[in-house]
Parts: sequence; structure tokens; C-alpha cells
Amino acid sequence: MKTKNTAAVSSQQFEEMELIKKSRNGDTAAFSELVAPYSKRIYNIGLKMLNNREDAADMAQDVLLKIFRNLNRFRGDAAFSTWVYRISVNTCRDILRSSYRQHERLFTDFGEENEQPEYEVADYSALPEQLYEDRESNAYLLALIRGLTPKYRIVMVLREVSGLSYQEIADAVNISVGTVKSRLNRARAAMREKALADAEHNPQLARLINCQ
Amino acid sequence: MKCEDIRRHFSEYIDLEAPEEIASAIEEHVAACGECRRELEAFRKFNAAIASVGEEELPFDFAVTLQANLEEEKKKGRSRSRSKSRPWLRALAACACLMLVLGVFSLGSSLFGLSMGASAAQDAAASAPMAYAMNGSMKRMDMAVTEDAAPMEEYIIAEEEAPMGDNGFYDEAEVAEVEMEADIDAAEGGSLKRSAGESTVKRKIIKNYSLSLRVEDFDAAYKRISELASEYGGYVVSGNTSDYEGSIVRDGWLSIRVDAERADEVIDHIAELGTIEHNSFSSNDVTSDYYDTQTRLEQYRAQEERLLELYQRAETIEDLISLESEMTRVIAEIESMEGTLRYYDQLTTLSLIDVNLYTPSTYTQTVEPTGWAGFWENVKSGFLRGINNTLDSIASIFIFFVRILPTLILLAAIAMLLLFFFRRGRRGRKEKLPKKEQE
Ligand SMILES: [Zn+2]
Repeated sequence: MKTKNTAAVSSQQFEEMELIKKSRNGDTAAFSELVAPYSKRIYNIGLKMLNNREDAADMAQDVLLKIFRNLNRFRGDAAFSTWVYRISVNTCRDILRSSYRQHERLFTDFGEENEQPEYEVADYSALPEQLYEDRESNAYLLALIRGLTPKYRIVMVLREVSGLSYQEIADAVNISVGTVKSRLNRARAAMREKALADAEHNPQLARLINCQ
Repeated sequence: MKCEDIRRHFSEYIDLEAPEEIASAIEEHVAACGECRRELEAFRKFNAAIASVGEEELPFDFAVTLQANLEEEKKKGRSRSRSKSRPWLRALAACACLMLVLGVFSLGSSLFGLSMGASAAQDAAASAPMAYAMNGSMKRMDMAVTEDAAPMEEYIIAEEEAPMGDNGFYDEAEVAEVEMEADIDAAEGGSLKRSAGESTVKRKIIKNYSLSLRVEDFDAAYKRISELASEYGGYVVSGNTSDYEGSIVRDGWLSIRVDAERADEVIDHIAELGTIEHNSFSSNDVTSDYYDTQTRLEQYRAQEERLLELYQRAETIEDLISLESEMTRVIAEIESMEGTLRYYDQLTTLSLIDVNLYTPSTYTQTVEPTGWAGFWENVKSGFLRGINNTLDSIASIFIFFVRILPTLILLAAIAMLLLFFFRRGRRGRKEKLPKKEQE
């Protein structure tokens, strides 16, 4: 069972390398096949990091183009997926940076370890309070994620939405595994605190996050 | 271990990323401590909820757009590779640009900034990211100086989370190139278009109110607010009262929805029932999200029609099957978007009023004692910050002088050269003049 598994993985990697070779020669069909498993994921990272679908779609296109343009530089000494996530994270950061610049708003830096995560959108009171359908609880939870400052949001998204391991997140964001750990811990604590406060007036939400 | 220490590791534990000894410590503790066991359960459930947000499908035109972008990129790439055949030219051009920027920057700071000292150095640093990147080891110190300057924030990020590179994906020069390309792209395309003309559409705003109301007759007030909901075109969302046995304390809350246009009237009526002790209002503008969804919905409906057409003309079973599955997906998307729009319509036409109700005896004010501990904490951190700021200022003055030193030398050299030529020129003319007179 185990051997079969590894064989499957390596054949997948082999296929990936073949597609990369073809893509380098300008084969756009091969490239589409190469990035197909990642497109949706990239788009969804954008969707949670940025605030609307249009920006997320632009961001995903941008990332894929960067990958296409720079395939020659991919040396294969790390997983292709790691490289893809890295470019996605960087592109998101650039977009956030420039949009914050436009709006002349302070951008909480990605650094400082010993500060509590703050919500850049401190006002959550306009969030949907009626959670009688899945869609609405989804909107609420999405707003909770988007309420985190970018440096916490990115680890949260890569973990809970994309399902990356701590090591993969560390490689993508270029921080240590320990930092990933502490940021996730803080982000969760902050989101939960907010949700618990909201749940006091909202039995449906309370049921959703189990605090009754 | 204490409960607190155990709970601090829940996050990594549920991710299966906790070291073995921590994982077993948690399991041991949780087996014995009921409170932590429940906390762990709740924590798990909360994160399951977050994870349930899940992924959304790609926009239906994503693949087509990608193909178009790739073809265009291929064309661009060809012209780019031609210019790449002379890499030294690129390097030279980059060097020249850098020199120019550096020159202008330091000239500017030495012309305008000399008298202003450190503060000018800060401003200059903030306005010249290029020069910034060049400073290598000095970067850290500058960073501390400019911490408070708003425009600097973005460079702090840039430094902390270094660009892709560093660990063997690219080398430094390549990173610079990628970033330059990215900048060019941003300048050319404006990849983030803001939807224009929003002012012509009806704004969609969700307005919510929250009140704390002290009343004498709890039951009457509760009943009256419920009635108000239906009188003003809405309904009771939810409510809750708590009766503690054997006590006269009554408190509870009630959420109602009423016609958004007349919410103010309802609040006036509620105010008549007792004393409003706390009152807050919030609004959330969902206009762009709303019309975003509407546009997407239209696109999907068009897509559905096209698919139907194709379906009627399909010949092979394979085509039929693939069309069917695509149609199922499109229809599901359409339904979900219609739901979203309905939901927004409801939220924007009916405002939510949250009323927290209580009888006077429950109203107690709590004053939290902060004590001397908090005071000394403030004094201590204030003092340390003061020391830091002083050190930073000294560092920045030093850096400032180091930075303008080359410019000063250059200016001095130019001045000396000018002086030299000026003198020679004068002497030359003097020598020539008499000659002419002699002729
Ligand atoms: Zn315990």
C-alpha cells in the first residue's frame, strides 16, 4: 500500500516535470494542464485575502502569468507547489500593499511577534446575525477571516482553507514554523473571542461554534 | 502543567502539528480535567466551522482569460528575449537608473535637508525606497527611526517577509528582475480595476441598531417591542428571557427586524418604554458586492443558455454527459447567487434592532481596579521607549551624515573644478585681449 502510494506521487511529479518542460517551450496547453490543480486554490487564497471576486480573479491570473514567465527559473529543488504558493503569497502582499497605499491607510506590518492581532475592521456589528442557513454562517465566518490583519490572515487561509502543513506555510510565507504556530494560535484566539462575543446575542451562531 | 499552558497548545494540537510530548501532555490533562476537555471540544468545533468556509469555484471565464493572457505573454516574451540577448545593456541601464535616483535623492536631501538634520533624513528615507534597498546593513537602524512614519510601513513589510528568493528558488538578481517586471505590469495594466459609476446605482446598505433599555415592567416592554416588529413591516428574529428562581431580577434580549426606512420611528417608540442606557448604530455598505453578484449572475445565465443550446445539438453521449455536469454546476452557482441577492435584499430593506432589556436591579456598574501594577507598567514601557527613541535619533543623525558624505565630496569637487576653469578662462581672456590690441 505504502509503496504504491509513493509510486503514484513520483509519477505525478514526473508528469509535472514533463509539463513544465513543455510549458517552457511555450506550450500553453501544457501549461494550463500544469496549473489546473492550483488555479482554484490560488483564486481562493485571493478571495480570502482580498475583498472581492474581481480582485481575486485578477490576482490569480497575475500569479499564473508570473509562473509562466518564470518557469525557466524553477530549478526543481523544491516542490512546484511550494513555488506556486510562494508566488501567490507575494502577489497578494503586493496587491494589498498598493491598495493600502492608495487608501493612505496604515498597513500593520507582518513582523512584530509579541503584539496581539488586531482587527483592522474593528466593527463587526454589521455582520449577518441570522444564521439559519449555511450561506449566511459562511458569510459571517468569511468576514471573521477577512477581519484579521494580513499577516495573520495569510497563515489562517493557507491552513484552514488551503489545508497546507505548517512547513508548507512557512515556506510559502517565508517565516519559521514556530512563527506559523504562534500566528495561527493568535489568529484563532482573536477570531474566537470575537465570535464568542457575537454569539452572546445570537443563539444560532452560538450553536455553530458550540459555546452554549 | 496548568490549564492555561495546556490550552495554549490546542491550536497546534488540533492541526496534528504538536510535538509528541506536548500532544501526550494534552491528552493526559484532558482525560483528567473536564473543563479543558470541553474547551478542546469547543475549540475544535470552532475551527471546523472556519474550515467549512471552503473554496469557491473559479469564475467561468477564468480558463479562457488565462489562455488569452498566455498568448499575449508569449508575444511579449519573444520581444523581451530579443532585448535579453544583450544583458549588459540591461545591467547598464539599471545601473544608470539607480545612480540617477541615488544622485537626485542625496542631492535633494543635502540641498534641503542639511539644516533640518535627523527629521529630514527620515523623510528622505521614506520617500526613496530605492536608496533604501541599497543600504544593506544600515537598513535595520533606519527601520527603527522611521517606525512612526506612516509611508514607511510598507517597506517594513518588504524587509520582514523577504521577497521570494533567499532559499534557493531564485538568486538575488533574478528577484530584482521579477519585481521590476511586476512593477511594470502594475503600471501598464492596472490589474485592479475599481468599478466605476457606482454613484448611478442604488446603494445597498445594511443598517443595524443595538440598544440597552432599562425598564420597570419587563413583560410589558418585551411584549410591546414584539408588537412593534409586526407593526413596522417586520418580525421578531429571536428573543430570550432569563428568570432566576426566587429572584426579582429580570433580563433578556430581543432582536427584531423592521422596515429600514422607518427604523428611527421604532427606536423612538422603544425609548418611550424605559430608559435607553446604551445605543449604537452600525452600517455596512454591500453595494459593490451586491452588483458584483448581480453581474456574475447575468453572466452565468447567459452561460446556461449557451449550454442549453449546445445540449440540444450534442451528438455523442460523452458530450451530453460533460454538458450535463457543466450545467449542473452552472445551475448550482445561479441558485447560490440568487440566494445571496435575496439575502442582501432582505438585510437592506429590513433593519435589525437588538434590544437588551433589564429591570433596574440588574443594573450594576463594575469598576475594574487597575492599581499600581498597571501604572508602573506604563511608566516602565514609556521610559524604555524614550531610551529607544533617543538611540534611534542619534543613529539617524549619524546615518544621515554618512549618507550625504559622498554628495558633499562630489559637490566640493565640482565646485573646485568650476572655480579652476573659471579662473583659467579669465586668465586666458586676459592673455588674448592684449594680443588683439597689438594687431
Ligand atoms: Zn485543565
